Amino acid sequence: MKKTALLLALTLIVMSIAPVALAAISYGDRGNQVIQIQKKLKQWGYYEGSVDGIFGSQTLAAVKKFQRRNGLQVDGIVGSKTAAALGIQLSSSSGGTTSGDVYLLARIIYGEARGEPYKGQVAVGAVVLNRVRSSSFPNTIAGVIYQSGAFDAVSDGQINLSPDATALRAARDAMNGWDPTNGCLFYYNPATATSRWMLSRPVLLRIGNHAFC
Amino acid sequence: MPSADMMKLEVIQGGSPVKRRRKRSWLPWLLGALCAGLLIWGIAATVKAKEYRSETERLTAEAEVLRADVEGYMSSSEGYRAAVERLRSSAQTMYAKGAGELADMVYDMEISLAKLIVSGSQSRKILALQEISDFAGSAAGILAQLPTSYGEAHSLNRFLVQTGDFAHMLTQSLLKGKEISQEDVEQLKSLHEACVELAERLKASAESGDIPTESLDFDGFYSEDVQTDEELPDYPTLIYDGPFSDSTEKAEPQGLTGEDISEQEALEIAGRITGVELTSYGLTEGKIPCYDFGGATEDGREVDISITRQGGMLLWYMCSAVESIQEKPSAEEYEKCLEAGEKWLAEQSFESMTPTYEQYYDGALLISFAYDADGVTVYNDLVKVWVDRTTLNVIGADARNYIFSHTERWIPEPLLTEEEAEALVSELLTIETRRLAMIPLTPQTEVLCYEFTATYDDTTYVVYINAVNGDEEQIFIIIDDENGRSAV
Repeated sequence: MKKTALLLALTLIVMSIAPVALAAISYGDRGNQVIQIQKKLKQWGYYEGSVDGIFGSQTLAAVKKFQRRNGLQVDGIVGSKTAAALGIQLSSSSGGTTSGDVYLLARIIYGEARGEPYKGQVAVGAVVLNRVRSSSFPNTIAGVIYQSGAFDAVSDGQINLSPDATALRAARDAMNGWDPTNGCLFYYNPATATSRWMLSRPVLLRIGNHAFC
Repeated sequence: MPSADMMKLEVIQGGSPVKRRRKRSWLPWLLGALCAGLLIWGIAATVKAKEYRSETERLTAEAEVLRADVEGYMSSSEGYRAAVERLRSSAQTMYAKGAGELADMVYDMEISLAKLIVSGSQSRKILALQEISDFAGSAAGILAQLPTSYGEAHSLNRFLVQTGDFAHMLTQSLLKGKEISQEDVEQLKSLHEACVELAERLKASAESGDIPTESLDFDGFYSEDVQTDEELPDYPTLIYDGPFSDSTEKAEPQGLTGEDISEQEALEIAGRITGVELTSYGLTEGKIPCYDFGGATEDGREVDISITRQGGMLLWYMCSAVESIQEKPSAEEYEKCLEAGEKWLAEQSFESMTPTYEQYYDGALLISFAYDADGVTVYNDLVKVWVDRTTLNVIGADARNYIFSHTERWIPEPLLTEEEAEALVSELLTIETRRLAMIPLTPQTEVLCYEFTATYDDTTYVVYINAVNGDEEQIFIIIDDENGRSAV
């Protein structure tokens, strides 16, 4: 029943899109994310205070030290770059309407197609959404992305990287209906693909390093 | 590690004392120089030998470290092997459990289908249909987690998804007081037969012990042993109207009219819309064949645009805003953007469009416009327009929905008056606005409804009452937050 409602909502009205501005963690913040940051900093010897979930002056000093040593901008704020360097993931900023789908879509786009032209990044998101609407694939975004073997970036863990602003925008644009692939369900890199079945499919278009079919 | 101390050179001291003699002769000088030379050579050789010794010691120490490393590696690789073995075994357990559950779910579908076919009461039928739709959904969910290649899984996936979808559509129609038709009973019978066979096959495969130990990689997913259509198990073809039905997947665009245009003509249209110099990327086939073009604005922002081959319509256009503004626009700013969007739509010959919902992100205000047919909002005919909040230029558009469904449609006369329909809305709601709208009920059917926007407990709802038979067809909740206004 949920499926139908989703599909109708997709065609009927604009889908509800999640906020994707990521909350940066800075001085004065409290909570689980601060605990994560403190743990990492402590583990690597940057922080000597207690892991209390409060971003105080000691944590600030540790973050700055970490940033300086790692060639990051030394602002004492744990934004997406510092978080990525720490190996933690920032959660989305607002509660309530947060839908993980946009973020998950951005992660697969970043893992699969960063460095591709913008259109090629939107196209990867569009292929995921075309699969969600297809009867031959799982009917949720997570189901499609995590289908065993369906995406290299899931197999090799690149999906766990923090997406950049471009990938996030591409995810939202794809969610809003942009489909540069004209309905494609597959894409591959002709330089590396070996599946004869895949290579035998008629290619609809090429964007950057990807052939869509 | 070589010790720094070991490397330290000894300080060379001395030199030979020079004796003074009154009688100067070259011989003692020569002898003295020779002695001094020998002495220096001797000392240097000693130092060299010491260096060699320390080098040897250093190498020995390094070899010792290496040996310890190798030993450590050997023992840790044993630990590593054990960990891999544990992971492998837990993956296998998980996959075995999945395969078993999948077989169980299909068996449960089979039982519910059998009961449904012989059931005499509406309520019993609805319960059985609900069960079928739930079991089918769970089965498809489990299937997606098992490492099966696309070739093996896609037809089974389609069978499960369509069975669930079909059961859901039948539930809807029974809830509206309709009967299951004879054709649908026949379809249910063939579904039951297919489930009997499938349940056996899945049970046998779950019990075979041939359980995978790891997830597939990309090459495994698209392995070459893809079954051809003839080799695929014979699942019944279902004829119904639902989101995953074959008829929906094969639907053709309704809104394409006119003659095919050339790439050159398309380029001119694209150039007019974007105002930048474009390169052609050729024709893309698909449901809506289109010419693709790309370029960049003067300040380097990427521009992509696609024009339909038939009729030369704008399919989509994407660029980015000059500044990445995130905060909510004021009512005044919204009005300005709306005006810009409306003006632009008229220029692109999208006539009679009315704004519905909006979002804002990355410096753009996205407004969804729907076609307005003499006061009836047709939600299927949707064009989305992205307006740059800094420049008020249109920097994106998506007309795919419009091109897919826009056609001269027959809109029925309402049989209910607005007052009669309003009386059917829950008394909890305070109605604020009213209008007529065509909304999609299934992918291929639209119904004429009165659209009531109403509030209850600080939340805005949109309620759709069928203008012909009074059914409450749909309820949406309006989410109005920092990202815009949308309906869920």
